[in-house]
Amino acid sequence: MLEKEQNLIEEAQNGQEAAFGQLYDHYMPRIYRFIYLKIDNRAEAEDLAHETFLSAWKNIHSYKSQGFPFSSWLYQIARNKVIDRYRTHKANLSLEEMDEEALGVVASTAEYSLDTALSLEKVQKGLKALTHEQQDVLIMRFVEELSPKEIAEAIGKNEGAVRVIQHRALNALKKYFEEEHEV
Amino acid sequence: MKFNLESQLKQLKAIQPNAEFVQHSRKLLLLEKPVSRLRLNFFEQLKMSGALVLASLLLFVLAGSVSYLAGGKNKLANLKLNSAEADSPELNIRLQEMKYFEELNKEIEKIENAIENLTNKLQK
Repeated sequence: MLEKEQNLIEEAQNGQEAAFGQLYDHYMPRIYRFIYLKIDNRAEAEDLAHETFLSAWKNIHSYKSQGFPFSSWLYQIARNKVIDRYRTHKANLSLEEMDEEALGVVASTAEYSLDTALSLEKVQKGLKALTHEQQDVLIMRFVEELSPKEIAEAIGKNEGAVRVIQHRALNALKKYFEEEHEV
Repeated sequence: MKFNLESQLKQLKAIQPNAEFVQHSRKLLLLEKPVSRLRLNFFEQLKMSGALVLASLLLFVLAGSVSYLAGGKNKLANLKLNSAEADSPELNIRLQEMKYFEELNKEIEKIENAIENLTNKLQK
């Protein structure tokens, strides 16, 4: 959680652009990453991340802190954007195209070795083998390090359900890697 | 394996948005203005008044139904009460009294007529 986040939110709600700018700087990489891991398309991930923050900025007055961080609200918006995108626009990229792109982004942005990039690509492929809900939970929990309570708020489920989804997702991912290893 | 999976997932943090895109998106975003609080309040009030109207309507229908059902029961109760009253001995006594006094009045009337006739005859 960002330091003095509540103050920044209140200032943003009073129309102070600089305050929302700080929130944007802090959360944009996370929201972008979350969307990117879900759709595997850099340009679309950028568009959806922008749309997410645009919706958040325009509707900043409707955000009410109820013991949940601002991030849960942002993830909720981002998640809805991704769902809308899946509804209106069937993915038209082939798996090979997506993989090439994914590998390219990871390698270019993080200055990782080729081995690490390949390993990340493998994880990304593994995530694709899961349901959307399982992907959401694993990304939020292990990539973004949100608490089960925060995830529950973002995906509209209770904490118990989040833990169950997490457990099943890890098992499914483990199974995927075991099968991949055998091949 | 679980630990490895988790640490592998953590590596995905390496994915970062393009710095140029972030800068451009930020600029564009902050050119926009948020929806005004007044407009939001108006819609909230509209929602609230809509909910109130609906609640009142439901209350009205509910009250109407209750009163209809309660009225029906009362009517039934009244009927039962009336039949119970009709069967009561007190009422029967009163009816008999009324009948008795009616007959008595008729007899008195007859006697009075007879006396009147007799008086008329005597005067003649």
